[in-house]
Amino acid sequence: MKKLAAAAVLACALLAPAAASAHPLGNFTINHFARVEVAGHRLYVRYVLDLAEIPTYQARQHGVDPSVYAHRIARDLHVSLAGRPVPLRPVAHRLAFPPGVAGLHTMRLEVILAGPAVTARERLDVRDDNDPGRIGWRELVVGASTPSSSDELRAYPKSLLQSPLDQRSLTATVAPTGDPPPALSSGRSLEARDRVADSGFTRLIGRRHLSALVVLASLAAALFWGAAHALSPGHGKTIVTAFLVGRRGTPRDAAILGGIVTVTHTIGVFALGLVTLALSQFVVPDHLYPWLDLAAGVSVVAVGAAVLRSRLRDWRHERAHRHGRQHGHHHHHGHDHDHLPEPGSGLRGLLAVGVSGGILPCPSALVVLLAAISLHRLAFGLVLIVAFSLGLALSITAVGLAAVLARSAFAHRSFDGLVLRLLPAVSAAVIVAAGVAMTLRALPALT
Amino acid sequence: MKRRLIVGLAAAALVAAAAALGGALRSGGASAAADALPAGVAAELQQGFAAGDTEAEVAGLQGELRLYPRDVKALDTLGLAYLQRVRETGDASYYPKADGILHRALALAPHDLIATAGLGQLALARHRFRLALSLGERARSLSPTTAGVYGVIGDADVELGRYRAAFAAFDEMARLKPSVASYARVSYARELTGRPAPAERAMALAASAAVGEPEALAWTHVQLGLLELSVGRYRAAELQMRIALHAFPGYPFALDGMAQAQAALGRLRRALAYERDAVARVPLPQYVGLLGDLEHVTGNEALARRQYALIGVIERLLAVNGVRNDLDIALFDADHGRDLAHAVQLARLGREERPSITGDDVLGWTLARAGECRAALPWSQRALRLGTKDALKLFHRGYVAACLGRRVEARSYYRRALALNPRFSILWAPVARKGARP
Amino acid sequence: MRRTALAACLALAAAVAAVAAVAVRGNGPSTAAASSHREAPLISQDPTADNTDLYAFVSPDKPSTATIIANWIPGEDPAAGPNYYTFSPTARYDIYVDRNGDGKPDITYRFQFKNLPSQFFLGNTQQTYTVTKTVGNTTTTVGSGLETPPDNIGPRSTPNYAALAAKGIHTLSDGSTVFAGQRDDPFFGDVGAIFDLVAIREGTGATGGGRDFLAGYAVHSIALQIPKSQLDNGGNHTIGVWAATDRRQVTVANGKAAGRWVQVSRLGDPLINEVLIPTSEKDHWNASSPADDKQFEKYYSNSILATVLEKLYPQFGPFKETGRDDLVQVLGTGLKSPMLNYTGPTFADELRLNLSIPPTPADKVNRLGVLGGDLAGYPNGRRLEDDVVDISERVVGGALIGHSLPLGDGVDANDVPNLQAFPYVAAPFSGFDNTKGQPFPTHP
Repeated sequence: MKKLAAAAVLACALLAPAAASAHPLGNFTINHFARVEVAGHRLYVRYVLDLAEIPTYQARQHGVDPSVYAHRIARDLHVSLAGRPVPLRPVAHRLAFPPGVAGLHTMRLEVILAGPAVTARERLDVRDDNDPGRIGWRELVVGASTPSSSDELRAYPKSLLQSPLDQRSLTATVAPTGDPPPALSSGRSLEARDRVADSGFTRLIGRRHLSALVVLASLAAALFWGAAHALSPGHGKTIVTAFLVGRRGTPRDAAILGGIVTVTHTIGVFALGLVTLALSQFVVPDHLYPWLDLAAGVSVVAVGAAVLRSRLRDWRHERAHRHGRQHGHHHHHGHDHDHLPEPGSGLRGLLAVGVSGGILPCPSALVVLLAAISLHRLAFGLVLIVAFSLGLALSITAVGLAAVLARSAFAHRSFDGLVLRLLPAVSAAVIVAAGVAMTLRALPALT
Repeated sequence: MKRRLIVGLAAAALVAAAAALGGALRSGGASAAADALPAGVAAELQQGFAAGDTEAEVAGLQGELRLYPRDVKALDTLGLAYLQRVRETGDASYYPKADGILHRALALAPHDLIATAGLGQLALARHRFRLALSLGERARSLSPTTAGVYGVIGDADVELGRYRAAFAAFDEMARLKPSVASYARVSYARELTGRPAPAERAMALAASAAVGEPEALAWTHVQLGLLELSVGRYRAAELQMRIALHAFPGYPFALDGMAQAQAALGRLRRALAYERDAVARVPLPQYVGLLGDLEHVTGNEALARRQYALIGVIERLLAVNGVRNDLDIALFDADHGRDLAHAVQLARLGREERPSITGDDVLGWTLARAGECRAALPWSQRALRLGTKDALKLFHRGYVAACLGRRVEARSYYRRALALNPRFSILWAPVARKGARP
Repeated sequence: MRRTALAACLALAAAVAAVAAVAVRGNGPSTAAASSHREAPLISQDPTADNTDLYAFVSPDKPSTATIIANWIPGEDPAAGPNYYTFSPTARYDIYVDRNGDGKPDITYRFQFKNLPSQFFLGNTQQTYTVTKTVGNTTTTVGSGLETPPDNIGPRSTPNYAALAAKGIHTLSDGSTVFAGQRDDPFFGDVGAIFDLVAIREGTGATGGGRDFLAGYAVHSIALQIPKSQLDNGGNHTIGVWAATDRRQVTVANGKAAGRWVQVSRLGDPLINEVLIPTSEKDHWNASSPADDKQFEKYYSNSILATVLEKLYPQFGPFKETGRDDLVQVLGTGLKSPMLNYTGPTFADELRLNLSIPPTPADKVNRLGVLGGDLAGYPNGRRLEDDVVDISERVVGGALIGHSLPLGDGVDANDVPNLQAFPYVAAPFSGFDNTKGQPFPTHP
């Protein structure tokens, strides 16, 4: 059981997404990419425009007509072949609005421009005069297969040792090729991989006007998100299920469990939030990071080790029991049994399981708490988190209830088996290994 | 076994706690210094040889660091260069880069003066004034003879309303090293204490000490222009903004300053053009706000509404990114009569973070606009306690008086504001004019 | 139950630590903060007050005089229009001479400049200046209303620049000759590769092939040619020279009176501030006088630079890293044995020139100065031809303590030849055609 709790810890920690962040290049950048290529005997340009949240908002205020944009791009992108300027004509475009932060969107426009015929090896000059005064990434490449350092504005390099590219002109030679004409991206590749949008839950805290109706709607949404969240890995659903089934629990037990999970989760979020804030006030946070990483790794190793030890002990104990049954009954009282608690352990058992199920505050809830504090909406944040925790609890309870009902339906089936016996020890070992990995990763940063 | 486990965990916890509280338990050490020198010295020499060309400096340092990633001096210089790039271009994606680079330097050399002071500068830019103050104090303890640390301390003290400490810091800074940095700060202190002519003299010295550094030079001329505006000398203000744009073409701060000068001269169309240019480069809330007001005053209501909506968006983004801008939001809302109860709340919280005369003024103003005139009065009075010759603050004070029914007092303040700067605000100068009539 | 509670606590601790590690690492704002609070510049280099180089030598064409040349404004780009460089009218430029080796100035020349009235945008770079001379307690004005030539902007704005520049040479009332104005930067060095092992272009750089980082750039120079009779002390014939810049202090409270002068930059021996003085002491060093330099002696005797050389050239090691009395001597008191330019036991950063050593004829000048057997060169004073980068590297490497190595940066001379007569520093490139940062040709 503890191993599952620890596994849930691990899963949540390792899967924690980054806190809500802006467009990687800043919320008001307009980023440009142009790929000049020759397909067969024709020159094409594949142009990508990536607008961050603010310019997207401004653009949408005016209404976005992609063909107008395409024509403007064609006009302000100056291309010369063998010294003669050549006109470009937009032939295709695609527009998407990938989500950004604070409930806003970014904009991605891809345009294919067709140019003149290319019959021989010729000199090419490109100059991009689109949005000259605007900050943003500007990249020019020539050739259909030349790699782009930003993957065509989908993933900007995050190096601290790199300034945003500012390529505004380029000279190269081009010749006819056997390549097919360029195509627009679609589906997933139209998305921006490195943009971290808010989750639906974290978007709730940022609503501008909080009328009573908005608050109620937000609470309902929070409930929904909590319930949905519980269905993702972790949160001790397995624990709860196994527990309720193992102890022949009743629907009332399931309900109590739900309540305990709600309370525990809320407390966990606040504890974590306060720790985070307190630490960041007194110390320059970067002094902490390597130590926190180390502490996390060491803790996980410790938990895993404890669980592994108890599992192995139980394994030996169980084997001793089995032998004992064959050779006579050596029963040691006063021996802490680490298996599923005996039926009738009562409230304490429920408490233990509920706590370990809800103890793990999940990052979106933490983000909401921190955002609530910075937006000075602590009360609203609190209420949202309680609703979220309640939703979480309801999901878990529902799963537990299902298990209870299933159990009575399949009363003769038992959950004992070799798989179940082995699983705890193996997963405990996995936890230890993961903890060791975390610790090792933290060490270089300390030296 | 359980005991061993507890002991092990307690040890881990103690280590973490010690690190959290102690921070710099390691000393820099000679090895760090030796690693620092090769590229770092070259970096310093290069810095000396390429004054005014930050972009080239940045590129050079990035190259150096790819070869010598642990060079603390180069990291320091690059961090400061990134901060300078934000000043020049408004591109705030350099802030996290500067943050990362300076933290890397600090991780390698926890007692490094430049990294500590640089992080103080960054904290100021992000409006974390208490953090900036503590970093500045730490930098001072590392080197009490370096003028720059007093700049960080003084700037933080000003925003925290601790004016005596701030002025002492600026005096010390100017005593240790007269330079554009110390001259500009002494000028600001003089301006705060209501002496615009001595403030101009100090800022003129700052301009003369900024020759050879285009952005700093442009900045000082914009400040001179704003000083001229504040005392009603609009043509002189326009000239200063022109000089600034000549020194650093496209400087958004100067474009906005020029827009203000043109608006004061009554040339609203030109003001609009300049402000649109400023907003196109760097959409700071105050630029967008002024643009919206200009659109409103020239009758383009739809465009004005768009700008106001945009400010909401920008402020949400700032909040999400952890920048504390409550006072700006509160001021905007109060000026435009939006969500006044919420504005008061924000102003209170904003003032907690920034208990300067700015915080006092915004709180008083939002309270007055929300009709809580009795509560507004002490704050508005506090805002004027240094004797600053600021027409807008005087106007706010007059408004509070009018709100309390004290007509004569109100008229007196309105008149003082208008005498100082007849066009102190597109939105409110007309109100002052009306209220100043007998 | 206890174990369950314990495990739950462990799980919580792990959760707190693990998730805190992720959460505390915030991304930080990457949106410009509203600059509704003023952000004055914090770090400024103050180029127009920044000493770049100091030279002192017996004039080769007039051996009865000594020439002192002090340069300011690093990296002055001749094509800097529309922002041209001039001496700062609010600064004071000083040249100090110490005749008795106590670290205090015995003769001081001070220069203050005024811009000529003109429309700002026409960029009139000409200035007038006043020179005062202080000997002991007496100060006299030895020149006033003197003109600098304009900056070399281009063939249309400043045609026939040599003639214009010649008009900038004046005689002071004490018999000295003076020039102040824009010149080509005579410093030469591959700054980018000096200490960069990977980029040193040819072995240890002693065979050329380096890039003169400052080729094509300009400086503003003040050159003084002073009769030796006014300088010589009749004893060891050695003087110490340094240059400095002052700016006026201001205070918040006192808005009217001009504040006292505060020294913001100084220069005696080359490369001291850049290489030996730690960052935390630079402001203090810049404001200090050589008479107080004992406090900085420790940075000379335990030269971190030697440690760097040890890392860069282990094959040529070992390099002596501590107790470097030779560096203390050559840079702080002058060389006593062999007797070259010793001024006395006071440790002070001055450029020490022995006036009794005759100048070397032009065809025998060795860029390595004393290390190359040419006693009229650095560290005995400093001539324009002296390769102080190579000399300094070799001296730090141990050339004076029997550990001589052909270290260098591969740049052996300035891109432009020096003039044969006062002011010796070549005319600057015009903004119109300049060749910044050109490669230096290789030689065997």
